[in-house]
Amino acid sequence: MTSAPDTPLVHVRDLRVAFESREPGVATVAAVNGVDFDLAPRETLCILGESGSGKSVTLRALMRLNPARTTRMSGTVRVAGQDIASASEAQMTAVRGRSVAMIFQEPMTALDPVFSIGTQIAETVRRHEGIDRAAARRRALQLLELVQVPSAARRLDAYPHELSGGLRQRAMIAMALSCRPRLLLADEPTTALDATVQIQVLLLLRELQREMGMGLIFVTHDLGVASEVADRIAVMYAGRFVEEAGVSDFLRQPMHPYAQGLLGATVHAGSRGRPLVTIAGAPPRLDRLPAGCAFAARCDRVMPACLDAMPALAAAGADRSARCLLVTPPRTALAA
Amino acid sequence: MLSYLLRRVLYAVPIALAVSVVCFLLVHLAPGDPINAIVSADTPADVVEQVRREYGLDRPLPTQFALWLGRVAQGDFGKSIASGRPVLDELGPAIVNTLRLSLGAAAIGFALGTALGVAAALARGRWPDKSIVALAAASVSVPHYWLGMVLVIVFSVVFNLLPSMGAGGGGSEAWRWDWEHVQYLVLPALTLSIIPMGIVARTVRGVVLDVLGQDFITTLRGKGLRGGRIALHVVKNAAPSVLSIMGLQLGYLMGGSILVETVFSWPGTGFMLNGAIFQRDIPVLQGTILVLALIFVLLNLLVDLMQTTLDPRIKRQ
Amino acid sequence: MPTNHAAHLPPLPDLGGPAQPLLSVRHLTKHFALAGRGLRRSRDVVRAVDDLGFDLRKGETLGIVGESGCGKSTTSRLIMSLLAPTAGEIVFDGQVVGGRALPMKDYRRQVQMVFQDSHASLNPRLSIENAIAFAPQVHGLARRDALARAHELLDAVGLAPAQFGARFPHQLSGGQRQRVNIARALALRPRLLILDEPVSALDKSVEAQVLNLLVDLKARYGLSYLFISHDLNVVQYMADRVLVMYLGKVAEVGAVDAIYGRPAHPYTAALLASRPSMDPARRRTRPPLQGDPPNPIDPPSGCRFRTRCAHAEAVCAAQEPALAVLAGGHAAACLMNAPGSGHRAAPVRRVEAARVLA
Repeated sequence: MTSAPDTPLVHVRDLRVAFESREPGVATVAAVNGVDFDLAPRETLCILGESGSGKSVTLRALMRLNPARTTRMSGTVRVAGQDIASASEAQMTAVRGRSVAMIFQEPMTALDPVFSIGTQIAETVRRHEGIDRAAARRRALQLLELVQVPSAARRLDAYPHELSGGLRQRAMIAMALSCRPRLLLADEPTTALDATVQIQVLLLLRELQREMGMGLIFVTHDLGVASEVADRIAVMYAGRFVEEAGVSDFLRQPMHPYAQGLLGATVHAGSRGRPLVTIAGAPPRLDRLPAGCAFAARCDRVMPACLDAMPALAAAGADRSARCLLVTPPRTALAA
Repeated sequence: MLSYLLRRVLYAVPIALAVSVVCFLLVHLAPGDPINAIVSADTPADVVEQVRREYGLDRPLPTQFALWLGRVAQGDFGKSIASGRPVLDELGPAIVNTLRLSLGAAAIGFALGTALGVAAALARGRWPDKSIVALAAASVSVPHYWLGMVLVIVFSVVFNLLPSMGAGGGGSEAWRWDWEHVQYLVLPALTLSIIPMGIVARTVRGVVLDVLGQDFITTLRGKGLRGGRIALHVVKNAAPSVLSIMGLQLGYLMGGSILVETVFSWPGTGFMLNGAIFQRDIPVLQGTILVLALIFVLLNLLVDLMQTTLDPRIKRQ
Repeated sequence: MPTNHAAHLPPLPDLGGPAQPLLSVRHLTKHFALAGRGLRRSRDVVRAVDDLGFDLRKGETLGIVGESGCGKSTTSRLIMSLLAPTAGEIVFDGQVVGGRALPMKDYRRQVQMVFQDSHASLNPRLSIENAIAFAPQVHGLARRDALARAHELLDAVGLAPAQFGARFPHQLSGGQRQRVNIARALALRPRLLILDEPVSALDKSVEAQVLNLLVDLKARYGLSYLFISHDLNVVQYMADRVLVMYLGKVAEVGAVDAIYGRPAHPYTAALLASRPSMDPARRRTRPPLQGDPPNPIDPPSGCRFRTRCAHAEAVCAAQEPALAVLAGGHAAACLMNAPGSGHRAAPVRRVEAARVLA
């Protein structure tokens, strides 16, 4: 399917994901509550949020990777021309690993411990391209070299527990890139790594993304990591985007009170000697979301209007938007 | 790897020795004088003494044990007091029969147990899962000799479909895997398979649920792999635990078939043990228990070794 | 047996005055033996901590930074006496730990630890007020007093006792659990708190709250902290002095401004350079260090960092650098700083021989 030059690689409108429980008395958890965004080819979007914000669920929804039986998903999701929301499971297995691939946070648990990494890389290739075992093994070797694993030939037959954390993560990247996906999804891939290894992996991802022309959606809770890789940043809170902007604009001046709180709470060189800026309270329960702005209970600039209805994600400047009545007063807000 | 093997084999020796001491002592510590099984009640005293000396029953226990062990090491298990024939001659065919029965029961129990366990794991929380769990609990709890008798009543007496006892004519060497012989195997194997089936079902359910809950399953789905390939991953991860349980169950089947064999008069080691107990036939008892225990120790060893080959995380020396 | 003073469990007294270090570690070594092959014991050892020495002054926060395998967690457990050292000694306020003057039970009252995994550190079957009251009761305090102490501490860490006292760990968030762990650590009125990655598992906004709390408690109770973390920014915020560890040895030690502003050891410099820049206009193009932190089983000869060091020379493989004093408490174990060491970048003037920093 040919795409026009300005067709977005990812097109998401009103994505909602909820988890139901069979047990009586356990309410449905509304993890994602209306997410809209587009991703251009070769662009990097960082979804920034804390635990419970719904960022990982959003990422998995792009591949329909959430547990099938308990997940209720709605909205429009199109990735690389493929309609994700209405595809059958059989169609999805052809998409996953091929047009879209994902790397995970904990490479130790995300890799199968009883198969060598060479086999795990090769099986992806064999699944999607049908080549024979020897050719797949050669491909796996090439990929390990691409991700700069030293002594790649020897490592092909290594098991995950025999590798260090950094090497395991590189192996996982090799696995994800094996079929040249157009979109790479990364779920906090460097959180479990040491600082010196983290920067290596981030640089590697950037380089590979450039070389292979992929789009990258990177989920993280770390602003520093976001600043190293992102073109755009979307801040997520209680299942919604509350701010979206280019990375430089965002870091220079975040607009949403939550985003400002996050930036203030990030410890850096200038923080020393003064109490850190904190955000009071805790995130809302996802099975009991308030009617108005989800952040209202913790906001130091809350107004009565904030409690009435959820503010829309409205334009707040050139190529940026925010979901806050302070930033985009209702008069000038455009329907999102 | 070799040194690991040697070490495991070496460990088996003291275990086997301890087992032989225990079974030797058990037999002798039971009430009643062993001599009464050999001679009738009205034998004159001096003849009794002579027989006692012949069988070495007048020597102190440690000496009896040492002598017995020495002979066993040379393959001489002594003679049966009841029949007069060498113990080994009777033990051989009995072991083969028990092996047939155990393997048959294992095949049924493991296959059924695995299928039920997988079905329960895939249907977690829903009614198939709950009913299979209940079934597994029931099968572990039911007294299998009672079940054997019920099966005999239903299939042999009422419906006259299957024979109720024995292994068919002709002894152990005449066995063939044809319906004429296998029909005798069906009911006892079915009966014996109940408990392993329950245990394997529960184990498989637990292990498969555990593996399915691991993070790498999401990675596998994320790579676009289909159900069959993912199943291969699940099997390889589940195999070490499940196979080791199965190995141990096989050991229990070999050693614990006495009740079922007695109910069905299946001429295996259990049946032989039963007779020997009532007849106080000490050589047979000692020989049989020792051999069964050694088989169990060997099975344990094989299970251990198999674990190391299947799971790459266990450090190979 | 409850003794007289246990009725309130007051803090143990300061012995040596402000000049005496609260904690003094000398030649601390911990080697873990590996399982041998066959029937022989292996000669391989994991040199987790090797000849470690440092002081912790009263009222200061000493930060220990380093990556996986550097030995910082092992060090914390050695100081808590959860592990027995292979060699070396620990001196607390002038008294050797475990010696006759300072038996373990008294030492444990004065040094407490907060761990990284807040969930695993709490007994899931104890309500949090019982968890906090547990240790004082063991040391002889009556239950009513212990509970009162627990409530007082819950208040101090920002958890209302009426609301949270009866809750169980699984009913709390990560940040709340960590506060409970801190309260529990303070129950015996310790003088030194060892914090082993206390905020690493928490969200950023919660991390800020807990760090503020730690600063607050330190001032309120007159504590000293040993703060272990891999997060350089957090250590820069919390610590007065910083110790950088690499493969079980001290790479550099000094005041926080000296370490962060003028790092003298190439590893410290690389660690600092590995932090994300927070400025998209100045993104890195090359990683400061290649490869992974090496294995403590077989460390390189001489300077352990030489295999990844851009400035390594032949002499670095030959001799293991001692801590060379730079200026007022700042020392680095690098031949580039040791006069007359033979390294091209070493200062030429032959001054006093390098002293191991106290």
